Amino acid sequence: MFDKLKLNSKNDNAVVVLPNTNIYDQDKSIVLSLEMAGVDKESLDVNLEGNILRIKATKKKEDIPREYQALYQERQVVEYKRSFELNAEVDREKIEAEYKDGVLKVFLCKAEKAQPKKIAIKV
Amino acid sequence: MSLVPYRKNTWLSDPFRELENLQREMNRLFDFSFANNPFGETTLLGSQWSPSIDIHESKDNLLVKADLPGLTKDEIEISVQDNNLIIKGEKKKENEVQEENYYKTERFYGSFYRTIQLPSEVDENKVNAQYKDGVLSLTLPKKENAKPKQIRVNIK
Repeated sequence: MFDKLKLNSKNDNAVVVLPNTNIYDQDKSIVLSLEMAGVDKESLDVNLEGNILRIKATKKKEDIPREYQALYQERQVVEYKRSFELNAEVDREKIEAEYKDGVLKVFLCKAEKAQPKKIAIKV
Repeated sequence: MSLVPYRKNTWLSDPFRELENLQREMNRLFDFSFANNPFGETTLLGSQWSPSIDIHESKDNLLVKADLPGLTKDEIEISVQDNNLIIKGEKKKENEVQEENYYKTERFYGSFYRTIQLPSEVDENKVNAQYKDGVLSLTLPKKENAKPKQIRVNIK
């Protein structure tokens, strides 16, 4: 039990936040777009474990010069975490991600068979 | 001396604790539903999203940081008026996506506005703004007369 507690308290001053996410269809992929402001790109971690796509990132440490004093703080040290379950529609081999302007976009390519096929109708 | 059976957390042993618990629960409920709605829209108190900010102060400057994910530089407008800092802008939807293609929309879109009263007078012509990875950083130099002055008192 204590081992478990220890594991969980590794980052105990970080507030974990579920990033707001939009999910949409675009051409041949399903796109997840997650709002994650000020993320340290090194810490960005997108990984697939079975059917679960896990997204994790920590916020960049603020480099505020020493002479400054905090007057007011709403932004907290944040760890972003969210996971999604993928269905058979997604091609596991083709997952791409990009981070820009505080938004992470994950492109999940649809598997061949999930793409609508045009069926020619013979008259 | 007779032994009294130990009862944990019953209202008999501590009626006020139960009341406190109830109050805490109610507070939590209200905090959740009105203030911290994760979806940003359609709450009872204010239907707007507004960015979270930090303010830091040094002898010469104020440093304001705001989380504004998913915007471009041109969509943010910053002004200083009567010692109030105004951050406003409009967050536009990803325009390449059509409405019917969405499975889920949790992100906020639309205009936002936030006014922050500054703790000291600043020189609005020398404000320096930077936007990177969804975080806006503003450095606002204080006006000469707002800086703390050291007055040496001569003791006779």
